[in-house]
Amino acid sequence: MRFIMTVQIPTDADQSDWEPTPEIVAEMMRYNEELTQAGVLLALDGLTPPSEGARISYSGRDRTVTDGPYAEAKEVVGGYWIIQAKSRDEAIEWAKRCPMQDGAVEVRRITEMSDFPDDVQAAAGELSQEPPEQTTAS
Amino acid sequence: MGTAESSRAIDAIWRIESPRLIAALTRMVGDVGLAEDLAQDSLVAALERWPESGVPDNPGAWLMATAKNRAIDLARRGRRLEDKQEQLVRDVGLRMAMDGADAEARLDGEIQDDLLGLVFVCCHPVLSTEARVALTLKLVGGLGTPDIARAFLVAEPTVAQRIVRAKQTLSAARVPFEVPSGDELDERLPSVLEVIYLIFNEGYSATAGDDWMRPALCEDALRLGRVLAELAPKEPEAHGLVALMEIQASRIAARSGPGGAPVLLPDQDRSRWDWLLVRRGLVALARAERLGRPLGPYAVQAAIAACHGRARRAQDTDWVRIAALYDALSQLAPSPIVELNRAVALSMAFGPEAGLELVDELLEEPSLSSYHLLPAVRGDLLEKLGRDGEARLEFERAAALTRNARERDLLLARAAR
Repeated sequence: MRFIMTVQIPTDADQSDWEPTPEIVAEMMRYNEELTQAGVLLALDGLTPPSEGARISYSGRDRTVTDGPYAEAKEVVGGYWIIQAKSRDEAIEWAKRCPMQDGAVEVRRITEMSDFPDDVQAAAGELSQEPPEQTTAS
Repeated sequence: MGTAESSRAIDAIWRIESPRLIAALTRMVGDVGLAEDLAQDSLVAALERWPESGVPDNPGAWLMATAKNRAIDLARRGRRLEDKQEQLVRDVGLRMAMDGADAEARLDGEIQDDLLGLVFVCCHPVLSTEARVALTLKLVGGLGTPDIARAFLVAEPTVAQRIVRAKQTLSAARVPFEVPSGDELDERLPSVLEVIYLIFNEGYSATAGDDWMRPALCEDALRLGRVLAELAPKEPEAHGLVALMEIQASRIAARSGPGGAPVLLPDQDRSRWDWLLVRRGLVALARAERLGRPLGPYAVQAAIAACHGRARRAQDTDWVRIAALYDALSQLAPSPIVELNRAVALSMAFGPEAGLELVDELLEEPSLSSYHLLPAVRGDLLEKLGRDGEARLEFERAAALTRNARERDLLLARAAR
């Protein structure tokens, strides 16, 4: 099974939290290397600060766009890893090894098609007979 | 922490730490059976202490130190199962007490070497294939005996016995703990790759039972393959095998329809392919190619799988290229099964007659006489040529030969069409 581990950064964090030092980056690289050597790492990415982002809120047909940062959120996602693990406990164990000094990492299992009942699976099949453009392997 | 919760956490730590732990201990004691006993003792100690004391900051180092102390302790008390084992423990305990061998002190690269050494011990040619598979899953994959038994649909004591015998065989044959190099590496690597691919295939196309696939085994094999590719990054075939498994695994969700019936490649809903795995497979294949050495059979098979992976719709598949790659594969690893696949590729590239010609040559092949895919392919080609009566007979023959219940249903449905 697969899990996503998201780094949660407090909204009131300094800009410096989004600009890691070479030491922190080196530690993270070591951690990523450990995940790679264990054969569990599938993908990872870091995100730019929410000040560069935007938030789109929905209410029926209305869409409201708010530029980041968003005062009302307590935490924002700073990056993620997708890992393959045997169990939730194993995913938690990997997350515990992440060299974080503060903030949090949230571990969530990624849904598989087989989690859904047959009718939902059938609906998903009808929606997209072809893979979406952006995920096409080149 | 509750007891159940903490024992689950310890299980997870064990799965992560045990391969490196057993590898380092095997290097020190020179015997994989004894190394595993010592590691198990440290696990028992962890299960006793951690629920109360909490998990230490560096659980791997704790387990290592405990296993080491256990060896020293046994040496001092000087009593142990058999004389030979006792002597071994004494020597080892002494050595450890003297040089303070410590996993933490070892550099990353050395730990990786230990692990690679363990992989080669587990896949040593003195062992039967079944023993290699069980030992590799247990010691390198960190799986428990019950997991392995369930995955291979055999009784737990059978697997346990297999592992015990394997360790005895290694001990009796005095298999050295080392990473082969040069010509010997070229000779021994295929056995490692074979074991991993066998585990993958056991999951991918279950040979027996009602389940078409057992995806957990595919994940275990993929993990082992990725570990191996990091341990032996200069071996194109290690990357080739990973590429092949990633791309094949990308189709798992599309390979069975509602109710678990198999869906064949051309009919699969490609939106259900796992494009993350496809991309990983293509990257691994590129790594194999970048090493600049001739591609081996796994990399060529991966290149074939990649042709499918690059095609967003079945009709976009580059069958001419696939036929050429099968041609290369039949030079590298000639076998009637490769020929059968080449026949399919030829039929897709140049028409059903081209394929049927090659299939008909295979009819006399004794090793394919009870292989259900030969009549299945022949039936398909005959059907395309409009020879429906002959096609039906072939599908019926194929249905009678397969051991997989789902596949039989599919073949009988085609016969009735």
